[in-house]
Amino acid sequence: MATTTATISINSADIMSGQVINLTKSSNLNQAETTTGLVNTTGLAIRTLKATSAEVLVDYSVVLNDDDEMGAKMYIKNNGTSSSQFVTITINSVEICRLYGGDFAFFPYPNDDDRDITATPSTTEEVTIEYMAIF
Amino acid sequence: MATTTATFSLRSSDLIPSQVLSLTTSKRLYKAGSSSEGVDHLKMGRHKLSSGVAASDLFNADAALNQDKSNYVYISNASTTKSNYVEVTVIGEHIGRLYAGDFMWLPWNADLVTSDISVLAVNGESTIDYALFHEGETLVLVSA
Repeated sequence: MATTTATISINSADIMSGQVINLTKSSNLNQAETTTGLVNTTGLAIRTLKATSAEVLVDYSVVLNDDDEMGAKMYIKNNGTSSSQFVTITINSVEICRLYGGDFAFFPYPNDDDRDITATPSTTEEVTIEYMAIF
Repeated sequence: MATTTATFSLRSSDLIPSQVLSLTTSKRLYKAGSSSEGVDHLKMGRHKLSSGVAASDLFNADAALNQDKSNYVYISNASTTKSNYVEVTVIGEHIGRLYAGDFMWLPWNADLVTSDISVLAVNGESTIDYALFHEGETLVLVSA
């Protein structure tokens, strides 16, 4: 068993008048419905994309078992700096988010039913993304 | 204009043998297409989700939510019962399950009027904490 901890902090002193926002949450990444840590990972990968075609980041059939009760998690970041170019992330061909330069996403991954995760840049300008599945 | 920053870290000393994982990233939340103007609106709250009830829209991607603008979504399952989870979907597509204590962070562009983010409690009641950092919305007019 491994112990992996994800933490997010969201801070703003001025998005609300008279109320500082200081939201912090930590979570140990556990197997579904247990307190046992996730033990598998794709490792941290870095990939440069140069075309506007969809690239598979995680192929569920190769990397993961067809088991949506694993408690898998996915981290993806656009390492670019552009505020106009973005990378579209899809699951099972459905757009779930757009990552502009510096944006990141962290979400549970339903590794079942052919739900590959893909990334598609909005332009042919070279962009680097980093990602990691933990399952 | 507001200054809002999200910082994320992923740490483990034993997930990868002989390699400590210590990843940290930080991003200031800007309006779409801008590198200087921060998002300046916020929705934040807590919902109790009853089990056995159909999925509910947590965030509705209608015109009021500025489609194709910056919307940053935080959802956490505040429950402690391990078997209970919250299923999160976008446009009806199953993103995944938030088990007790899990959270997610998603830059959501709400590109279609159907790009709603929905939640469903499974195996029992769950409580979620949520926040949406966005560019603003137009309130719906009161019906005559």
